[in-house]
Amino acid sequence: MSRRRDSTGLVIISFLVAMALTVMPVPDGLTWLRPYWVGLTVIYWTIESPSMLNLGRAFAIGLVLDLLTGTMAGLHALSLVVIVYIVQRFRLRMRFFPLWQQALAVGAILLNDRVIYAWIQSLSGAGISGSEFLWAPPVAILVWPWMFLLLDRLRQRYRAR
Amino acid sequence: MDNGHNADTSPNGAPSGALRLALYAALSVVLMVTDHHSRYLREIRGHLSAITYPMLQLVHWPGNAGRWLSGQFADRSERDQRVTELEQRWLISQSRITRVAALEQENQRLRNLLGSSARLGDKVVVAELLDVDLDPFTHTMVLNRGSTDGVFTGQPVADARGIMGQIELISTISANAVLISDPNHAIPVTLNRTGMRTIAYGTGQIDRLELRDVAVSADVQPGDLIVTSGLGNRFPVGFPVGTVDAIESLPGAPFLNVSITPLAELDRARQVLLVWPGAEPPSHPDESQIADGASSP
Repeated sequence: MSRRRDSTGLVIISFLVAMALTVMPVPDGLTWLRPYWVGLTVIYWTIESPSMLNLGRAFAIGLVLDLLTGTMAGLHALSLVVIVYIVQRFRLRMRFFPLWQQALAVGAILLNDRVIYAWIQSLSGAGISGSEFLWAPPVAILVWPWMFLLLDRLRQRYRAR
Repeated sequence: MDNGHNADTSPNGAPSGALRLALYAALSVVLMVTDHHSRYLREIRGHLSAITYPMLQLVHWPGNAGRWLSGQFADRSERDQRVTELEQRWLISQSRITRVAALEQENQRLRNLLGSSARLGDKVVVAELLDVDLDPFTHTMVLNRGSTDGVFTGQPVADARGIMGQIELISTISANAVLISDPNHAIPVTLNRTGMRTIAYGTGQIDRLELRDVAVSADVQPGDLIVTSGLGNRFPVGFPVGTVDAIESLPGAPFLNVSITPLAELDRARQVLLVWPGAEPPSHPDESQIADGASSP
């Protein structure tokens, strides 16, 4: 529970960076390894600064992400709303997990998200040829601790000013 | 919308949180279904994608600048070699084009004799691809031309080797194209050797298409060229699509499983051609506008 408000600027910048990373070109073999950057960012802010993010804002961010990646309107919106809801429910527990345990919980949430996402994609006609879509959450587990520490450091700096 | 209210601020907050989750989930499902079934939301989405286009350009820029820099520092002899190579290739294509132009005229004369309708030359405009990755479930690419350049929904996109896909979403300054390898995409084709008409489906693999409706008795051989048939009035006639790669016949199955390797460089192209089938493109001040062999002198 922070006394001082987090800087809205940092939240917005973190989401812009996450979206840039989402569309950043990577070599062909690595496309399925890309972690769900916006999902990770949403989880971070929901855990650390819940007043910054509610379901409505997550929905809006999801719609922007849909525009950016050209997916069906509402697809990422649904995904982010579900993620925020789950994290809000378990927030008090997740906050005090050690970092590795937190990473595992984040991985589980993102795995759940990928399954729903792939299911909706297949309903809309996209052929799912294998289990490649499940590769991203394990990568996200590895990314989470570093991202968490980085954002924590940035937050403290912004507050100090 | 509902700022300042948190699900976990009070123990009673939870049910209202679930209710709001259900509301937002229902809203997004409605959006998805509408988007999937109606054109209007798609059009709106196309126009709104102009908002996120600067972000795509921003991501595209470093790679582009990197290529430009490496081009600047490229070895001189290497560059000279490349120039001579391109000149040679240009010479060869040029001589081919003159021959094709003669054939085209002869074809036109014969068509006139037969009284069948004349085939119009297609016009093309060069567009640049943005170096960005979109959703991995779909095969789409972003082009730097939009409705101000006369781009329209369903417009064919090709590269020098063959058909790449068609335009799906348009904003004023950009367009999203879906590739022929997208699992949702199908393109009417014909076998160049036999003239058999069929449909090539995308598979979700960037280097493979599929024919699923070829009868077991049909005459298909590996290496056969597949070209667009022009049926459905979306793609122009006679653009190369791919070559037959492997033919698999399962015992008892009524159809062959023919896999095709696309000719266009779906994953490597940097520049693509937007095709106006049998029509003049709207005049564009840019000099990149070119006419293909059929109508150029």
